[in-house]
Amino acid sequence: MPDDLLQALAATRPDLDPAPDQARRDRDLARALASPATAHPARRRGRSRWKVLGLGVVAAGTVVAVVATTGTTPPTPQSRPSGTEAAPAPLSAREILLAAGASSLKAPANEGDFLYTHWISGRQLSIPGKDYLLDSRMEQEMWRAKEPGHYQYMINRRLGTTLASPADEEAWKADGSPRSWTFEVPPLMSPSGGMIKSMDPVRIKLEPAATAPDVWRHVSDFGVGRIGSRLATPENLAELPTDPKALYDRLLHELTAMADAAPKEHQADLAEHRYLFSWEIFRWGVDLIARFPVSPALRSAAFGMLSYIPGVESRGETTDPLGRKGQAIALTDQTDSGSVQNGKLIKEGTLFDTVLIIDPSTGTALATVDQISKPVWPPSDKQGQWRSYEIFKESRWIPALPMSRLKNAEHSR
Amino acid sequence: MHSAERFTDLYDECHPKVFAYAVTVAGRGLAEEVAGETFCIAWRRFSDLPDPPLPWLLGVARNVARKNFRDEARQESLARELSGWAAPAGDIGEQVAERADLLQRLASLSETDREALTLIAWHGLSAAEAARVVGCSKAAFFVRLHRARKRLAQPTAHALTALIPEAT
Repeated sequence: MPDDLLQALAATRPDLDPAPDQARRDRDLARALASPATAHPARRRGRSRWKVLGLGVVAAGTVVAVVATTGTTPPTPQSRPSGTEAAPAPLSAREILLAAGASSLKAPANEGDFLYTHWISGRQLSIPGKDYLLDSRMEQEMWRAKEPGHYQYMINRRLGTTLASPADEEAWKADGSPRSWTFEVPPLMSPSGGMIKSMDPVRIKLEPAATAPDVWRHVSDFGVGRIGSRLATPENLAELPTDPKALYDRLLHELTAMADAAPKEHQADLAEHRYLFSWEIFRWGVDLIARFPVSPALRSAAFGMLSYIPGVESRGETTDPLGRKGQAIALTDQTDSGSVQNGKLIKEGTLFDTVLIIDPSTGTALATVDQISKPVWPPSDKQGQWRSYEIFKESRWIPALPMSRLKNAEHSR
Repeated sequence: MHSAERFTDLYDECHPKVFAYAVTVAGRGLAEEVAGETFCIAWRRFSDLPDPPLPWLLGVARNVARKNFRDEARQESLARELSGWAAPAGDIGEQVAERADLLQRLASLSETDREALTLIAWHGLSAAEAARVVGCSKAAFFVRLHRARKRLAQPTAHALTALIPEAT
């Protein structure tokens, strides 16, 4: 075989490149940014086939009402409650979730031609050598028309980068109140220890909130997300079972089918990663509870459905990033065994627990938080620290668009 | 820089490459949708993207192409694409004829072989990066590439009879 065969082949490359298309770019970006960015439960460089599996599901639910209160230990938002103090027997995750599901049934079903979703996405950062955390937030609002062919609108407003809490602010003042930080990033290494790429230093600075929001609009279908392999349209959502266990079974079945449909060469590998099913189903549950336009019965089922996921546990009372009290329901990271690559067990990368903070008395989700369970880098990261989070403000149908806020929408950024 | 801005930069830098790859696995008719969905997934996992991100993005695009479309739809779109490559361009100059012959042979290979070859020759990936895209070890990818090169080098009289790639 001539060595230059690949070179000759390279010279035959047909024109595969996309024509410049601003409308497509706007559409792609708006569609992508419409969903929250979340951390993957475990970093597996180059292990990508799971990434297509992540979409939402629903549960059904008949429910047992339980009063969810806790004892006197107010855990800080970022620590797991200590198990050593005398307190009433903690409620199980299932009891709390069923209570929340029952409460959620009281929410009135609402109607309208536009789905309005309002949330805040945020991220906390530690800085090597410093003992305080920074917090960076963006407030996001989205309006989606029920009928296709209408504009969809999005408003993003940066809320700035600040110290994460009053205690962090004190520590920051003691450090001389710096306004920016630069730190080195170690080179990216391959699992075998070879250097893949050197990295630029990271520069972080405090930033005030933006004075004016970005307002966008675009035309697309009802792009609220996906349930398994289907779009999460009101019609598709209405077909999901409204019994929690049936909902769980349906989601698990769907994931199994998707995994079994993968190319044969990946089958063995997929078997090693089945634990990721729990994470996918948990995400689907959160979508159904807090993001998707679902019936009260389906939302209630989604709460209960979470309790069937292996690895889901109660972490007791906590506060969300806005300081609202709630119950923490966590999907413990189940990747302690590491991931298998080329027949070797690889343990690398920060691991996260996924925590859903709910208010069982109203049957609403307050926030979801990726909480570090195994810090790796930067060295200032600590176990229990938050990484990224999403605060749920509202998701409901409304009759009309608030055009006074949307009239200056940019079709591109 | 805020994550949405960094994501926009990622899109601008990588979209043409993801699109080009999508054309080779799903044809031009589906490439836009494959690339768009790939970036949706990339945003959802944005805080955990590996660096460099391209092999990861192409791996996602590969899965999106295989899982989000009926296999017949993808194969039909791809067959249309391949026959476009393989059709001689009208000019009968020697170089052009050689090029057309090589493209015909490429189009006649199995999808697995063609993927190995184009990841390297057309999409500019290293073997290690290409291995990440297809989800195998680097060693396994070398074996695959070696076999594919061997088959590409074989003279072929059947180039035009085998435009429909075998299912993998």
